[in-house]
Amino acid sequence: MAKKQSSIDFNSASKRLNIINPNLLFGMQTTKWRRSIEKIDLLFLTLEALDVNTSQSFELIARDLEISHVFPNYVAIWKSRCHNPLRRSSSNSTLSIESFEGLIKILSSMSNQFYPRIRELLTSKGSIQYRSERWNKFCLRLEELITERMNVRRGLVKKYLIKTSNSDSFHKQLLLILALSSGPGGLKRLSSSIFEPLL
Amino acid sequence: MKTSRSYKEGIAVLEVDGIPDKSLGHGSDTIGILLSWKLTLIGLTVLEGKKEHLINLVYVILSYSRSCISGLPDSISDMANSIEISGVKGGHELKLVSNKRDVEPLTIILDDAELTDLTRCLDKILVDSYIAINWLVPLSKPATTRKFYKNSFHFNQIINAIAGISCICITAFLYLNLPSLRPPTAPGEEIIEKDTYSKDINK
Repeated sequence: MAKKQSSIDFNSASKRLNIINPNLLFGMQTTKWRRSIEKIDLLFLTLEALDVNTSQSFELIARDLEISHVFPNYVAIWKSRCHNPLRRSSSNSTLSIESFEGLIKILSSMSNQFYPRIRELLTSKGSIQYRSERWNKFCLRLEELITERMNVRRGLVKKYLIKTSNSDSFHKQLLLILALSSGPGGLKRLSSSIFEPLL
Repeated sequence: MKTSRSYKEGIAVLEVDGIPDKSLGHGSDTIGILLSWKLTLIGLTVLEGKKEHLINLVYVILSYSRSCISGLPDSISDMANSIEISGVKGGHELKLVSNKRDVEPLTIILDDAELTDLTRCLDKILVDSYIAINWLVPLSKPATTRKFYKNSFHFNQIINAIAGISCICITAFLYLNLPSLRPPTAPGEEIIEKDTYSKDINK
């Protein structure tokens, strides 16, 4: 039996949060959509790598952002993230556009909340010993999370793991994306770059 | 009456002074006419200038941040080439050229954290409702796909496709050149079938 391809439901456009430019959604390709949800999930994993209890605050953030109708509880957020085809248990159902936008909004807000920690990891100033200690801890946690949640047999996941073990640039890119997604103009920057691939 | 506003984010502190533009009906708290500005990058430098310089600085930094979030930090400068920022090993090089003849260009190396501090600080002034200045805000268009794949060609990526197409071509060539499996016809057999037999019937 043919497997149903996961996609975005454009019919729910009336309830949209209007974060994504409608012109970007027009003629949206499956590859583009898959790439964006993979990127969102990876950025969420990066946030989780910063703090063990990050996932607990997703629901509170959703409430603060007044998107409780989209994500009434933590499970709803987790279900939306499970649309990432690289996950061990990925969902093939359709993701609504408002959930997609909600995830971006949560991501930007969480980045803002965790900005001091992100900044600590990005800075080149201060004690080398302290910085390397924190950096190694973060890298180890991210690698653990990727191995734990993602399907390691997938080529792209293998590529991520090779990248993480070979150099720090991949981690730095993820952290820089999060840092620039924070602040007053962060949401706009994140939403306009969300369909772009991770290098 | 002169109004001052200040924005602080990490190492970046931006102070602006100005007055309301009464001809446009601004309130007493609003800055419609920018008189001066001062950007202090703690531990690095202090920048000052005219209104146009701040507008250009905001444009250059925000455009560069937008390219950084895509992972493709471009070299970006303003129209007059007085402000330029580009990616260098271990950071971002901000080059400022003064209008005054005797002043040497100032080069500052910012790390990722300092760049994000500066971006967030400039974001704050952009969203401040008490500042009524027409900023040059960069368009938040997504980068073209071509840009991402321009320098990332690897032969390994197309080796499978080439191998597949080669297999199909070789198979097709061999099939077309195989000798026919049909037993060879005896000499003169076709003539008997078509011509001689029909003549016999006519007799």
